[in-house]
Amino acid sequence: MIHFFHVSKVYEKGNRALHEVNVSIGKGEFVFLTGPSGAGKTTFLKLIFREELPSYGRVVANNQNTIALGKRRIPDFRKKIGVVFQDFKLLENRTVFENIVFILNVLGYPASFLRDRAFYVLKLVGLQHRYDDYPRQLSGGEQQRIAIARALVNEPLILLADEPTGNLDPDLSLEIMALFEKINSRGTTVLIATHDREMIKQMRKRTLYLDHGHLQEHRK
Amino acid sequence: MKLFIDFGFYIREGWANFTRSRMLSLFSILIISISIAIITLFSTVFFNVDNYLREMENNPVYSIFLTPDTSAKEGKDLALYLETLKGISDVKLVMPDESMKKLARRFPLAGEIQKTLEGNPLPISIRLRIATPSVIKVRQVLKQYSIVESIYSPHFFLSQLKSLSSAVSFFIALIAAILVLASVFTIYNVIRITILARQNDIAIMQLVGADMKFIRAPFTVEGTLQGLSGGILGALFGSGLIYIIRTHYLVHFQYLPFLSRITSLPPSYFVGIILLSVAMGIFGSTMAASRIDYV
Repeated sequence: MIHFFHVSKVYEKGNRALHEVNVSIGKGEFVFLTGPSGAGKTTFLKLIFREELPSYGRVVANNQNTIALGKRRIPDFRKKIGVVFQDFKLLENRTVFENIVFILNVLGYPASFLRDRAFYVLKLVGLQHRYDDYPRQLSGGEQQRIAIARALVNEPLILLADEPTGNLDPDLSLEIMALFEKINSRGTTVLIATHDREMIKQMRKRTLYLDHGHLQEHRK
Repeated sequence: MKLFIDFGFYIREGWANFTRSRMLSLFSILIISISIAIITLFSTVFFNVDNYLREMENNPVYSIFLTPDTSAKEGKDLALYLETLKGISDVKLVMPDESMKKLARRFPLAGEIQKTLEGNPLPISIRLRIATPSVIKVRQVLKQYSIVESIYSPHFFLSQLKSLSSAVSFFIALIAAILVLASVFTIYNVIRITILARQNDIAIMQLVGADMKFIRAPFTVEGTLQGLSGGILGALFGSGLIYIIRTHYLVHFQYLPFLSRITSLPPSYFVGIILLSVAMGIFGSTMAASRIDYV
């Protein structure tokens, strides 16, 4: 489902984020990506949904070589990937409900479907009562859960999450992880970038370790 | 079905954008409405001049002045004869008193002239309206009548007016084109500013997989709404101005019947002007939105 072939990423001024990364993540896998701050975790995720392109090597996600992907095909490619961003990236001038429904609109779902589906995912993250609030009216943890709900709403083939439990208390973090497992059990490939070692220990899943752009792997 | 869903989405998003950036939208609408008001004014002048010229060409009015010693009976006989001819729609015998009254209405000093001359110097005349200019040659018919002193026809005046009108039309078209370009440029820049203000939102939309048409189309709808609102306001403002000019100023120009007969534009012209404004909105905003690039 996700393949990195000799991937290196060098940013401007020579900052090397990833170095010679080779890894494959199969369909339906649940994988953690961990490592210290600045290790290249976010870059790794960005390369998968083509926010960034590799400097060397190639990235294949959902059978698409991201370098060969034409600009016009990027939206269709991204529609199959749900992303929970570290900074949430919620649309500030839209309500929680509108943030979720926007994705469904983009995918062309009929109006009759939008409301039920939006409330379904909001219920999954326990925030159905905040549907009419704006992101600025929510706490960091609540915004994070909305970002998760948005990523889940169209049942993507791949789910990428960048520190999805960073702003959540331990109980809520476990609930969210259970949610990710549930999504994973339906066949969605889940890749979670996190610092939370306790969580990784508890979940006992395949873990990729990034350190200064070099990848190591621990299989549990 | 999907097309309708998408279209509904564009309209909702476009309306939301339009209301969100209220000040910018108002600025754009103001510029468009000023341009459209000026275009409405020019179109009214053009429409009236064109109508006047056409009427003069298709139904020319001849003024036939009879010699001073012509009796009323002779004048009446000639008028009756002219009525029987083919191609003439209206014949009116005008007696000197009536001519003087008409002249006095247009030029108040005419009464003084009559007093100074101790009598009415105006001759009996006949006003002749031609229905089909190709059928009748007025001058040839009247040549045999010795009581006819002179014939005034609008043809000389018409050709002069036509060349003046085409020169004026060219300048009107030039100014209208400049106004249209200025409006398109304003809409383009206003939409560019709103795009810059929403750059963050646009990036997020792209990252979650929104197609470019989903991102660009609402901006086109926003520009269209600006064009439509500016067009309607401008047309109303322009016709209001024409009404004020007509009722307050042109009424004083009785001696120039063309000016006192100026009419406002027919509804089809207003529809055309508003459609022009909408087209400006679509064009300016589509150009601006097409510059949004993929993230």
